[in-house]
Parts: sequence; structure tokens; C-alpha cells
Amino acid sequence: MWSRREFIQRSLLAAGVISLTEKFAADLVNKKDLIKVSILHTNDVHSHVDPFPDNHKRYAGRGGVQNRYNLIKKLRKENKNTLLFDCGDIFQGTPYFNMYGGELELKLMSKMGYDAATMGNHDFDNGMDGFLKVKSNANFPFICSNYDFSGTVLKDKTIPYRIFNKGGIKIGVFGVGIELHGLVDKKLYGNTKYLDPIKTAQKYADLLKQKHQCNLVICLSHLGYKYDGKKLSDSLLATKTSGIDLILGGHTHTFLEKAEKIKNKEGGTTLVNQAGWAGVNIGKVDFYFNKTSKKSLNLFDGNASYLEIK
Amino acid sequence: MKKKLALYLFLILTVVSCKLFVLTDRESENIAVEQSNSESTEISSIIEPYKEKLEVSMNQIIGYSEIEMSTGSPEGLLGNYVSDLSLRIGNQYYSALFNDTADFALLNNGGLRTFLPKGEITQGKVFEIMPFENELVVVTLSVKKMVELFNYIGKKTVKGGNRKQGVPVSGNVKIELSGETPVEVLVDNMRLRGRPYKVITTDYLANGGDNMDFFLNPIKYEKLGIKLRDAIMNDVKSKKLLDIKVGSKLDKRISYVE
Repeated sequence: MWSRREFIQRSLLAAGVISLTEKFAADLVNKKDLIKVSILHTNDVHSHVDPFPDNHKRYAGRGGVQNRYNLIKKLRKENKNTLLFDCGDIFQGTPYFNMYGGELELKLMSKMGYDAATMGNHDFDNGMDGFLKVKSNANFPFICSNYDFSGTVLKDKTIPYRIFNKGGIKIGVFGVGIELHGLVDKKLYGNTKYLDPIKTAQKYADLLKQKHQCNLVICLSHLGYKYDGKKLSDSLLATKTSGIDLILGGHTHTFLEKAEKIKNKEGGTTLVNQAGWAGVNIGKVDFYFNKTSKKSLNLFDGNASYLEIK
Repeated sequence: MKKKLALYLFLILTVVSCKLFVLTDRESENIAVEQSNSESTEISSIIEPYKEKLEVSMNQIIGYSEIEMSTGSPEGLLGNYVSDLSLRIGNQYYSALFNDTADFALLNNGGLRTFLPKGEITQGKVFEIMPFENELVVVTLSVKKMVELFNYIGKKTVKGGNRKQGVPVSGNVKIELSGETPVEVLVDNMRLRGRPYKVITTDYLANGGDNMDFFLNPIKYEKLGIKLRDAIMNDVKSKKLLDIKVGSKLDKRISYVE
């Protein structure tokens, strides 16, 4: 492929069309001509409303809703095609939760313009009644695809998937949660039925990509990044499914520098990302789509995914 | 009418074009949320009323301590205090829920994040000491695991060690160490017998936190449904009702033989 690229590069150079740069691939289809969709995400914010104090050993001055919001606003200004998600454990971790049951956290997330969230195990900490009591403060949906709440007070209060449209790009989003049995007190999750995360993920990936023709499929997960042994994680889910472009994670409080590229079941690429804990980081993944039809792209290369993935 | 036409056009364009979009590139970089100046008050105006009320509550005096308590090794006032109340309050829950009694309590100094000053105890101070949501559980251990447990205490205990060294146990346990080796272990004044023992601890430690591997794969694991922080609050508040200050003593529950 490189030789083909070099060939194009040389011929274009000879024709004086473009100048030589290291990022030749990016210049072939100038990124300005691409539609960029930015995905911003948090996880395990655990009620961290205020920034860490200035004398904090690790995260002095970092985090806090105001700082997060300033950053998010700046990123939205850079790209209007931006979505913001949270991957659960919004609750529990500071007295704000103990005192107000999550009301403030959800109010602030609504103000910050979250597009959707999924539930983590700690979001059950005040039981499903406790969650329901404050849920009206959220103006965004909770997307839970593998918790069957039909026999509980949360029946019809969450949705299994949602499709967003940014700059013409269709983005399908579903959510998988962690097994609550053994992790959360039974009385807190009651009759919630736990559905197989792999099967559920595949079902919604297929539905979104094939039936709804989504250009991008995103899974909001609270399974955890990676474990020793067979315990299901985002890394494992990525290899056992296909059609998911991005798994945003939580639960393990994993600080990744950037999204990790994983080969999925069909050999395609699934990215896995996680943004640490307490809102001291915001995760960011950008997807570029070409505006031109496949036909015009064929001028250069038959394979649309010929650009290098960073 | 114009609006409608524009909408139709938009819809048509969307439908026609969406299948043509092809994913060509991916980039990712997670960003640190740093301190930033903000002139807008749209966030702070939401937080403020909650924060004010919270501060009032956190500044609320819930009791008094007759002495300043810190963690320590081989034993510390704070560790002794919290493990004693964990055994007492834990067993109240254990007998009410399961009609059973645990033998002793074991915690970790790393989980007690700051010292308790002498005098007024505020609600916020208890949150500072125990910011985690750890819950009390009862873990039933075989005698073999019990030996591992006491060997762990021997290794983790250091004479005059730092804040995180030493292992807090309830006062009905007596351990004599020679170096790292336990040479005498008594529970309720008796040497270990060939039966399983029931230990009150936190779910964090019971799941192997602080390398307490002896808690893994126990005979039984029972949740008491009370957070350690709430147990501390209960103790402080109930003593205040009786006009008693909370206190603690160093009683050589873990000591070195010469």
C-alpha cells in the first residue's frame, strides 16, 4: 500500500499539486474536507463537584465541575459536532451524594450538556427508588441495554439505545453495565435482570449499524477496562464483538493516555477508552468521515480505510 | 412554508448523503482537567446553595473526644478506637441480621486518612477520617487462614512505623511479636482453637485490599449493611447523647516480647 501511496505522492508532486509533507496520507484527503465527530467522555466521577484542594498530593487543583465545563465548552467551540457521555458511577464519593442523593450531580451534568450516560454499580447505592427520586434532574437519557428493569420501578425510565446526528453523521449509542450480583446489595437492585453483555452488545451493534445504518456505533460501558483471567471487560468485549467503533468504559478507574486500538471479532477496529476517575481527566476520541462519495475516493484507493490509524 | 421546504431539503440531503460517509481516520487524546479561570457563574450559582447547606452540616458538632487519636504501629489510638467500635457495632448488626456473633475486628491503617483531634468532632472530620464507602462485613476463616492472618500482622507491624504500617485489631485480640513472628496469639484470652473464626472487617479488605489475601475465598462472607463511616458516626453521636466523650487507650494488644 505504501508503494501505491508513494506512487500517488510522486505523481502529484510531479504535477505540482501538493508539497511533500510527512503526513502525506492526511493531505490526500485534507482533514478540512472531512467531517470530524468528537466524542468526549467521563466515568467514575463519583460526586466530585469541587476541584481537588490545592494541597492534594496527586491532583491538586484538578477536576471540579466548573473546570470540566470550561474545557468542554472550549472543545465544543473547536468542533460543533461534539457529543458528551458519562459511563457510570456518577454517584458516591463525596458528602454531596450522601446529603443530596445525586440531585446536584445530575443537575450539573444537565447544565454541562451531557448527551447520555449509562449506569454504574454505585448509581444503585441509594437503591432504584433513590435513583428514580433524583433522575428528573437529568435532562439526558440513561442508556442501559443489558439491565432489564421491566419488573422494577425503573421500568421504561432508561432506554436501550439512542441515535444522534452530528453534521449528517449518524451515531448509534447503547450501554452495557456490570453484573450487580455479588457487587451490589440485592435489595438495592431488586428484580433487575442481568442480560449477557456480549450478546446484548452484538444485538445492538447489529441493529444500529445494519438496520439503522449508523456511521458510528458507540458502547457506553461500566464493565471495567481489563482483568486478569476470564472476567468480562471492555478489552475482552471488543474482541468478542464486531461493528462497535468505540467502547467508552469505567469502573476500574483506569487512566489511559488515549484510546486503545483493538482488533475485533471480524478483524475490524474497535477503540477502547477510559478517563480515569473523579473527573480529573476528560476522554476525547475524534472520528473523521469523508464527505465525498465512495466513488470519488476510488480515484486514490479502493479501500476507504487506507488512512493510517493513529 | 420556507422553513418546511428547508427541512425537507435537509432531510433529503441527509438521507442521500449519510450512506456515503466513510470513516477514514481516528484520533484520540485524553485531556487533564486543569484549574481554569471562569468569569461565568452559571455553574457556581447551581453549586452554591448546596455547598452552603453541606458546609453547615459538615461543620455540625456530633460529639467530643477526650484525646487526640492517630494511627500507629504496633498499635495506635485511632486504630484501637475504630476497631473496637467496629466489633461492637458490627456485632449489633450481625446478631440482629444473622443471629450470630463475630470473634474480633481487623481493619487497616491506610483507610484511616487523618487524625482525630481532641475536643469537638464535626461530621466533616469523620468524613475526612473515613472518606471511603467501605462497608462492614463478616468473613469466616479457616484456622489455616487465621495463621496467615496473624503472620500478615507480624509482617505489617513495625515498631514506630509510618501512618500506614501496623494493623488495627479489636482489644479482645492479644498478639506478642518477636520480630515479624507472632509468638503468642490470644482471642478472648484463649489460644486459637481448631474451628473457623469470624472476623469483622471492611468489604475493601475482605476483597484482598492491602494485600490481605487471607480474606480471599473464605468459608463465608456476610454483609452487615453498614458503612464503617456510619459506624463511627453512630458511636460518636450515641456517646454525645449520654454526655460521654469518645476515648481510646494503648493497651498492648499488639506488642513485642523482649
